[in-house]
Amino acid sequence: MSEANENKEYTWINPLGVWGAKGGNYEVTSNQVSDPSDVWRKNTGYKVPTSKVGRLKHYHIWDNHNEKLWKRLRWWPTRRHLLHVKGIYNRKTLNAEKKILDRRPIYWVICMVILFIGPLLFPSSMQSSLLTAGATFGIFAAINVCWTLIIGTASIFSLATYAVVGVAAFLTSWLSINFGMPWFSLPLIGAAIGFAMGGLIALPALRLDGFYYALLTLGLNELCRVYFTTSQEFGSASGGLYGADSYLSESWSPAVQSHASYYIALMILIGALVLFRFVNGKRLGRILRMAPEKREAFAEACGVDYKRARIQIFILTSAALGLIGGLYTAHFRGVAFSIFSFDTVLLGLAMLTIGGIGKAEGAILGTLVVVFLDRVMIEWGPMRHFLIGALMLASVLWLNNGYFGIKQQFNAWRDKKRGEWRSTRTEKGGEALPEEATEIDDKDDLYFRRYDKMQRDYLKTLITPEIIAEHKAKPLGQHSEALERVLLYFRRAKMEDKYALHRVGPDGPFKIIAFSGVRGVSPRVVEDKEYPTEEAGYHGVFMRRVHDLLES
Amino acid sequence: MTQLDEPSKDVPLVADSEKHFYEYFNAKQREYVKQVLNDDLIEEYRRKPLGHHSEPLERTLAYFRRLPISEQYALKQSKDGTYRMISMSGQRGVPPTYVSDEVFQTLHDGYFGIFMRQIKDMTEK
Amino acid sequence: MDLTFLITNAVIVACIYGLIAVAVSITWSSLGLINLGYGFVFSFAGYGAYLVSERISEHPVLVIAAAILSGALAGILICLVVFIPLHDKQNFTTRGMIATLAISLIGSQSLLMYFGPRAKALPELFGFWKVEIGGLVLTSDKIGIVVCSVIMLVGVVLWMRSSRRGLEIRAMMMNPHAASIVGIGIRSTGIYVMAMTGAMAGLAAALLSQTYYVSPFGGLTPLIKGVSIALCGGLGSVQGAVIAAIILGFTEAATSRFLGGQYVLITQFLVIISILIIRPRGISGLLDKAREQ
Repeated sequence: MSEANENKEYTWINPLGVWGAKGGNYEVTSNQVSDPSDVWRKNTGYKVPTSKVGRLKHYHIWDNHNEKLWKRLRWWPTRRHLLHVKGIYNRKTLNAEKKILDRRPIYWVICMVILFIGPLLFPSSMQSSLLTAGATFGIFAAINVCWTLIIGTASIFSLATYAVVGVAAFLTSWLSINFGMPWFSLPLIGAAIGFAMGGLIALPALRLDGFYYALLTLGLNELCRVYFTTSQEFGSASGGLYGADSYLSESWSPAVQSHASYYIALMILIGALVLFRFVNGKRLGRILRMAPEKREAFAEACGVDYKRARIQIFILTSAALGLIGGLYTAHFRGVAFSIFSFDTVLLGLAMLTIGGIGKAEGAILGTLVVVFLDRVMIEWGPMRHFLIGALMLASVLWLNNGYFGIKQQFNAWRDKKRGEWRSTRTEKGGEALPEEATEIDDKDDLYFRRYDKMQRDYLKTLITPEIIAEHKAKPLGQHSEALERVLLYFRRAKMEDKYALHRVGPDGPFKIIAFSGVRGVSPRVVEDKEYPTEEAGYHGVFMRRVHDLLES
Repeated sequence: MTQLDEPSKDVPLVADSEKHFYEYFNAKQREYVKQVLNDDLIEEYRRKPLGHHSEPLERTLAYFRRLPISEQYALKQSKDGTYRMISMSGQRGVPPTYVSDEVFQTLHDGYFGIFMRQIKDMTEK
Repeated sequence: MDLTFLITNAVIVACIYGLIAVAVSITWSSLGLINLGYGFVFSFAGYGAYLVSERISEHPVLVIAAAILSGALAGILICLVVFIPLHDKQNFTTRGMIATLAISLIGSQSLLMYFGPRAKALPELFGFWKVEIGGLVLTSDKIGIVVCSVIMLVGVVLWMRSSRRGLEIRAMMMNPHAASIVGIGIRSTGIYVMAMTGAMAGLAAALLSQTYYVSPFGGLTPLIKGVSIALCGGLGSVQGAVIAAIILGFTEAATSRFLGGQYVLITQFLVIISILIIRPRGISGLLDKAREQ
């Protein structure tokens, strides 16, 4: 509608004419005024195509509990629910629904079920090798889960895990071979050995930290290796000890033995996971997570006894590792020296890294990958370790937090990108850039800049030669709407650099000056041109202001 | 046009000067409106009854809207969605009456009809 | 007499492992990266020298130069793969260390795949002559080892002190943030540092090959020893590494003389553990404070 009127000439009739306006100006040629809200609508419009419901998630998830709300399944004897569930209302249909906030227990259960029915799914040709590899996976995953407690929760970089396991395994197998200890005593003896070793490696941890402690544990590992490798007692001639008592009786058939070993290894893994859950999620884990290395002062200031917590975790974990060492002996009937080699430590680190340090599921995934490559894909030869190293390198180079941190990493990246896209699509059309806008405290100022810009864009369309002629003919008095709007805008400008008239003589010529806007600072002379009368001066000021407007 | 009109010529002298001046003012406004009233103005209103108007049309409409209720008109919607013009009585309790038999199909036509009626009333005053 | 023998042995061992220790120390203090890939650099340099000695000539200078160059090349490779992508990401210290371990694994395996598991021998670099000084017999290789490593170490120290690149490296050791403000590029300096330290490790490989063969996994023991010496002497301090090297060389010599070769590692690590317990930051771990992250 406004386009038809815009800047169309018409004769403006002064409404004050009927009252007898002094000085004429009864009829002036002027322009029609377009709708000022057009520029507003154009500027504030949302130009991005949007869908009707918006980006809110509205797909159905789970139905609400309804009447069964009170009688939900709980972990007896606590009142803790099985899953962390939240009741929500569907944004589109407004139905009452529920959403499972933490789906990880479900994934754990699914993976455990898959592991347990695994042997039924193995191809029969590879049955035995897969079962053996599975047993190895179970035991090493248990070791790595305990290792994650130290490296992840307590964030102490200890490389002595396999040393503890190896020492416990060697001592228990030696005891079993020489003194005939039965298999059920081996884990307990191993736990006691682990307990003692835990005390041994916990004390230096209080004094050293970071890579110094890693070196110390590495040295311990090497110490154990050299000692056991060179000592006759521990089978230096045969590469290890063999012949300990086992719960896998020799009288069973090989198939039953391998199945039993697989499932028992899985039970060991579940035991380690239970330990992890009840340490990491409870008080000790929380204390350790708040007092990582290099932030002990903060923890102490909060009143946390981190030293005691660290000793506790070491002793606890080492006892668990010793227990696993005893089970190792009972499982494999002995132990070889390779458990102390730097290779094992390296592979262990690979297992931890591939999944992501700090999470139990990361340790298990890493162990799965490495054991699969190492023990199952034997025909690939040295390519396996190459692949393991490549996976480790890829995981460390590109993933901030291992494989299970991919979702978090991707979300962070996506949010960053969204922010960048949003800022390129800036629709404000204002005078302030997005990064500038966040620095300005007074948001009214930002809004004013934008509003001012819209005003100026609108007024530029109103300025025509007719307006200027109208002003020249009569600077003061009632004006047509177009000129009135322009003049009102000029009069509203801020004082800084605002034009004014300076009377040079008593009746004399006028000069244009500009205010400084600062108290006490006198205005500056803008130009040398002198206007003979006040009206001429007004028009001169008007022309300057129009010029500034068109230039801005 | 340049002379002041004698007030007593057009408007009867009333004891309350305010009322008197109010009548005088309205007379002057009518004069102005009659000056700006032309086909273009009517066409502009017909095209766009609501929203941004040009200055003379806006002043005209302001004059019409300032009239007392008894001189204003309204639209009544019938059951079939058409409109008829009614005039208000201005007195409490007295119902409005139909002005004419003319039926307007849309609100847009109704607005325009009212506008034309107001102009007629004003020019005949 | 016994003592002098011990001392000479100690000095020789100290020279070789000291090179790697100084390399690890410099890398950590200037880049913040614990480079555990020196095992791979070591083997790579050994194989490089082997290839040159096989294909081109057996001249000692050429072989040593080949070892140094291939060491520098391996160092630059590690820099490009590990340091440059990771240095501005979170968790850089741990991730960098694990990445170098991964490269060590990959590299050793690829060397194994390419060259086969049999160890290769490098030619004798220093000849077979002997020198007698006051009742002490010094074989040529011992003299050669000491002389070469001392030259390399002195050269590195002088270069760091007086050349422009060395100045940039030292600036990064002191305060990497301020160095980057002044205009010292982290990446280009990183390449120089890794090349230089790789060259040092390469020289160590050539020198050690007089005693041991070149094999894909042969770099692991020198790496562990070098890292232990560096940590024992305090990360970031060259003089600490030298002192620790001498102490540990002495320990090794004494142990192999009195207790037998198989207990060398035990006594060495016991010494390291006791030093670390007494001084948790190493013998002179002064600069480590600047690198506390």
